[in-house]
Amino acid sequence: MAKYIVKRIVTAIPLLFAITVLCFAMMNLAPYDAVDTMIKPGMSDELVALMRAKYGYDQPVYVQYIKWLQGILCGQFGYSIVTGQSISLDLSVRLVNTIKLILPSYLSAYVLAIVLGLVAGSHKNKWQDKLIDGFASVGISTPTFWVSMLLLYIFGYKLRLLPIIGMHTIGQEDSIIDFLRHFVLPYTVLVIAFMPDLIRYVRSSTITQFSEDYVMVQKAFGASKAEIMFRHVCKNVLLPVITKLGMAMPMLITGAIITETIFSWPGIGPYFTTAVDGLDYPIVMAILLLSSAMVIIGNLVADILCCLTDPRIREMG
Amino acid sequence: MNRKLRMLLAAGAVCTVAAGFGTVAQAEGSTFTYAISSDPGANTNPITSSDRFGLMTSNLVYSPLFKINGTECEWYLATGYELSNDDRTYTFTLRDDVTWSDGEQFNADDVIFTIEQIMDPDNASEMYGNFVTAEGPVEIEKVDDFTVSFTFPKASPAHLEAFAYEVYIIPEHKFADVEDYDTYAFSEPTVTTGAYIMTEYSAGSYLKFEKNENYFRQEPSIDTIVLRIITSNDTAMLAIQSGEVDAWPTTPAYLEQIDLEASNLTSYAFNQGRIGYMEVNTTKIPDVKVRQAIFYALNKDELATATYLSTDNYDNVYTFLPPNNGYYDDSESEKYETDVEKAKALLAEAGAEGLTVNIGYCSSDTTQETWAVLMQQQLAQAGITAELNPMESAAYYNELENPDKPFDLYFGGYIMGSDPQTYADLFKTGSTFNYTGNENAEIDRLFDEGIATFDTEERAVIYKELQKVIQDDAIFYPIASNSYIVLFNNRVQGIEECGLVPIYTLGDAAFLTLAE
Repeated sequence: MAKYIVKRIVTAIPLLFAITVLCFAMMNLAPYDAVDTMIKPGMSDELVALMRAKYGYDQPVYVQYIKWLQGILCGQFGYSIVTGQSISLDLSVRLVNTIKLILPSYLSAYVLAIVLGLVAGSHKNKWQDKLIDGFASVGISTPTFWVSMLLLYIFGYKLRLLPIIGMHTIGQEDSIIDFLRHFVLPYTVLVIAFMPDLIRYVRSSTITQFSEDYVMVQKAFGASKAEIMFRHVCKNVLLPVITKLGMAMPMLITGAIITETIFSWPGIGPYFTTAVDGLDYPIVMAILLLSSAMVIIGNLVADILCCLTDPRIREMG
Repeated sequence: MNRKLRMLLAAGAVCTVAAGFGTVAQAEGSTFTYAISSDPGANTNPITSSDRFGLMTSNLVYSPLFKINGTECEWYLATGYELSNDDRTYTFTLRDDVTWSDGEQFNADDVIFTIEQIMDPDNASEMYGNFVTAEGPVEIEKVDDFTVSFTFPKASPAHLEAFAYEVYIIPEHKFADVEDYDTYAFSEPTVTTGAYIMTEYSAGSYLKFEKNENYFRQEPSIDTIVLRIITSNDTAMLAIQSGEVDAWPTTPAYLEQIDLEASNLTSYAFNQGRIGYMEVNTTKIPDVKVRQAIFYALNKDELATATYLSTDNYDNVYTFLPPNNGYYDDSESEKYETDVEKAKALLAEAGAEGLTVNIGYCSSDTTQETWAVLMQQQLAQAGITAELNPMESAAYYNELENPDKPFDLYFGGYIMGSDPQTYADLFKTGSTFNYTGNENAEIDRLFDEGIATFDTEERAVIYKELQKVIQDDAIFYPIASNSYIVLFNNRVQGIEECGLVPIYTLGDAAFLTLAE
């Protein structure tokens, strides 16, 4: 098992490298760059040349890439071209904020989705199923920004129950109640956003399991519905669902871009979109690197979990 | 049952206590919260900041030598200046009663240090070209601890503005060791001569400022100012109505949706010296008659009202200078009042009936989009077919510099300085920023003449002529000078004393007060 993990990680490194090269190349395909977004009329050509030299734009593309790579290998993510802020500093704050929001939301959505999916699947075509499936369809179709604005309008403005902006009230960063008051609305939005996909996945998995032979055998033995469900079907349903957990890891970084923007939640989302707009490539590259690493790690984790939970796969490989 | 009840009560008690703790930590003193739409970062400094909110921070925290109000000088760190006989040397006398917020005395060393940093090519400061002119760099001489003189290689009345344009004096004793202004780490309260001291920065959330009790103009009334970062305009609109922020810069489109009285708000619109305009690519339309025909076909009022809704939110403008500029004079300029028949006649004269034009605009700018669509309709009445050519923001503004751009007509907006010389690069032959590609020796000559004399009356005559000549060429169609609109909660007072100014918005925040 350990050998397998090490092998996977080692093969992932060239993949990461290839992704960064591709992204850098694509960003440089555009005929303009971050300095172009900063130029104003009245700036002499000499000044523009100075600005380009300052950010290394006067060097050929591959030199710029190598410089960036050297920085990364030393653990330096570099500085934003637009604001000059240290990227590692910014990321360390914003990543934590994003995780604080996404982790609870996703886990809640996950647990709820499993429960609801099982209920729906075991009562196929009855009212429970119709209700839950209907809810899932509505959830998939509504855009997150619309739900966010709706909740903000009702709870933040009309009823004045909850605050509108950000993660904390200024001066009350230590208060948990204050954090929870800010947290409730974006959390709800994200749960509504994450659930439908999982519900339908669990539901279809459950339905498939119920049509398997062993269920018929158990019914013949006289087992109750609950017994069949919790002793036999559950395990088989949860198997693919557990791998979904691993695949959802990249969401910890970029799973809530729109929601964070609407709620002014100081996470990675607004940071990333502003950087893309401003062609601020050090930030874009850093986030892409993290995101790609998470995808690779996530897949690895999914595979490992699969191995651990399903004895059939363990015996095979 | 008993046990469950006890546990429930215990949980309830814990929650109430926690809530109690939550409400105890209130901010002491008065706080004014201003919503900003982007994060300027913590290391905003007057040498390299060029975004609106970075400049706003510099204005709150540092002071300039003086500010230019119309044609008057409002003195801050300097008390006055003298111009030498050859008009090349400016000698400033400085206040001797100003201390930095850490107790050090402010003196000429700080001024000299600041200008030297601006002139350092490694910093690539926006103001670099103002002090390292085409004819050579400025020479600086420290006359004594409170007197400094600056000598320009060539005399020009436009040089005075260089000292007031984004030049905020920084403390030499704090910044002497800073190597890179862009990336130095902000870690402590700033050392300032301004009304406020920056004390805290939370990435993506806010910047916090505490009042500087030793501010040399007057002790600020409000204890704390917070610049709150709200990236979504819709969220900001809710926040200003619910009172979570006290001030928010907004647009007429949002203003229409808000019931000001019910939300206890007042809207302040002030002219920010901006012009929203349309320009013609003379490389593609070289015949001045065709260009004039296009101008006569347009309806300026319709365009301005469509985007700015009412004259409360904009001023009419007919030349390349904004109406609040000291040299604005449209008395001799052609205003191109809508005249579709004349447009058709001119087109016939030029043999250009059935003309097709390509209108370029920035796809994410709703104002430009509205103008493009409206112009398409207006031009159709004169028999001109217009194709719309939207482009993504960075691509669009980059394309404007391309002499082979596909646009016949395109949009833009600018805010330049108070001196008409600051507009020269936009209209002179061969300049990188002359996007129209127009080559008119008379325009070049008039711009040069404008800075050859210091006499304001002589300059007024020259610029009146210049405004007429540029309008005759029909290359620049000013649509409106739109005001900057800020919504304030009615509890904020002293706004007139503070003053609302272009770019920095709050003129001198020390004069703001909060009614409780």
